[in-house]
Amino acid sequence: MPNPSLLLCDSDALVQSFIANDLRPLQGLTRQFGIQPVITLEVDMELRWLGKHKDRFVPQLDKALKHGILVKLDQSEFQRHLATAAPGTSWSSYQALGSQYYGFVQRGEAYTHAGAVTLGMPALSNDQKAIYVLQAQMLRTAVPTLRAFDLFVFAHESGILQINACEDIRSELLKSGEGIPGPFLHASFENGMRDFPCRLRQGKASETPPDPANHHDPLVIVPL
Amino acid sequence: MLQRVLDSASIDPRTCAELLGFNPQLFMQWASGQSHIPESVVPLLSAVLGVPQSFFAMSPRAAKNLSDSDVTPQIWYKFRGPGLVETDREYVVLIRQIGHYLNELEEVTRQKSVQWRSVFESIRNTVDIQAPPREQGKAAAALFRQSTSLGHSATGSGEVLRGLLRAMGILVVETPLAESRIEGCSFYVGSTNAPRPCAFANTHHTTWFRRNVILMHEVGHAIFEPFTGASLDFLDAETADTQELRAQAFAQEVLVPKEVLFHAAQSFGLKWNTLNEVAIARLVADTHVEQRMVVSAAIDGGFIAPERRDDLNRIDISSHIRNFSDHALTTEEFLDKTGQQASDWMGKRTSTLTPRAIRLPIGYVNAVVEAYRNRQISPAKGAEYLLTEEQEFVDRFGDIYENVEL
Repeated sequence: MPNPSLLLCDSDALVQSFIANDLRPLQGLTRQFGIQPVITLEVDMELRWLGKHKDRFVPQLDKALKHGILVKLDQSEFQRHLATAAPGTSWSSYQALGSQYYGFVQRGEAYTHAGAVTLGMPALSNDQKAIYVLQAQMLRTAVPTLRAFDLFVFAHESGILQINACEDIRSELLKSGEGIPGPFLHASFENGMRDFPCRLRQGKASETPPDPANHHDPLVIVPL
Repeated sequence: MLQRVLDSASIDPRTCAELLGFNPQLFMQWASGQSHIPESVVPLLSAVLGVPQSFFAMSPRAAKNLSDSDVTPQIWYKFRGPGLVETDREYVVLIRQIGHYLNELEEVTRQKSVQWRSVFESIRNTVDIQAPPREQGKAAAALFRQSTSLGHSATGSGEVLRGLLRAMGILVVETPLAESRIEGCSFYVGSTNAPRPCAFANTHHTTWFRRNVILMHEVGHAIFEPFTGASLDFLDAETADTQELRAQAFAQEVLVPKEVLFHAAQSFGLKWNTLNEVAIARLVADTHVEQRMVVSAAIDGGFIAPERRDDLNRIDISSHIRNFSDHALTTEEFLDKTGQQASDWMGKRTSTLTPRAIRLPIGYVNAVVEAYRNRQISPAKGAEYLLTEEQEFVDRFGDIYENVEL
């Protein structure tokens, strides 16, 4: 299976990259693996006014958009990916699905999962509870759904981030009171990594890994 | 188009953005047409501002041909009028947002309450449109009591009133508005094709007994004046126009019809000709309405002579009523007596993410929490509905996923 062309990113996961002030893992995905991180219009909206943070992340978001590290999934960008989507997929069907999901979860998560499901792409979101709620409603969620730490661990394993940078990310997130996966709570990044089942793995072009079928299945990608 | 609607409603775009949880700069870009309003936002804007969703898809050229009267939603005609301040409009924006959320929540939980619609329609179809306004109010009240559980009871209804109105699908909001002159108001909320009535009472310096009257008075307005956009009642305003007479007669007859007053008087052997401060306090405590309404109902019921009205209204019952009803206690006294914490009692239903705090209706908060506990909505969604942070929502209502392997 070729690498997916997009990774739909949710606010909570991106916020962790913004707080850590390190977008290299996202950049690395595009440059080394041809996977473009995108945000829905709803995530863009959320990141521009996010609860107690208010407009704190706007400068970082604008910079990431300006440099193409993130791309907005607007109607024209969406249509560029229709060729690989299921027949009958359209902007309207995506909007309708997003609106349906939005009844159960927040706007960012709703449209991120709806976009990923509609286009058949993976997503990046830390909100496991949203996945649980959507699945309880018999609604499909992004396959797979990566967490911010999947990306950080993968970035380290594929040489995009040195271990020191990863330790800094962990410290910064802990200091900010951000939720981080259990294995990293009381262990260094390096030690935590050993007990963390990373959902993003690097494979070889010659291998054919199984296609992920669930939100927690690993995604194997190969360098360009 | 958004800018025109905001202008016509006298709503500041920056404040509106913050109230609705959007970046003000982005919101201004939507308003000025510099960037498109995402489709996912249109239902909320439509419901809050009171315009059809199609308004936001209108081309600037088509919009130019519309006059202000074509774009000004009915409700804002009233709320931009004299005597009203920016705060009033801001609270209307918040309340209408709650109305929209309640509709959404009912869709998800499949527990739609629309009983108000049939009750209101039956009243409008039955009441004689040529009768004197007070008679119209009384007739409506009799029908209202018959159509609800109130008809089966001869006791005060203050304690069941809010639950009853909510079960009918009416949004009841009581929150303090210190800067406002509004004592109560009613208007319709929800999208233009799914409206529901809202009755609002300002809790600043009003008693629970007074608020029961205000709420039913506002329901009276909502029944008879669905096309006026909003009905506003100001503090210390003594208006005797037909709409006010009708709404007040409705409130009185719903809350203290003759049988309720009779039952209350009988329960402690009241003698009407020796009515004193203790007896009036007891009547107020038992009927759940303020003193003036008790006196008025007693006169209308033929228990006392109309000439005694002013004297009876002047009697000070404040030191006695506290002996008969906890509802007469101050918040601090009430919390002391019941052993509750202010944070549990009110803090759990006060918004924290909005520039103005609003005390959310208990029934609404319970519906959100129930949906969360039934795993129908995520905690982040619950927090959105309660206008607060996700962490705060979980702190207030517990983490149901604590022991769940996610």
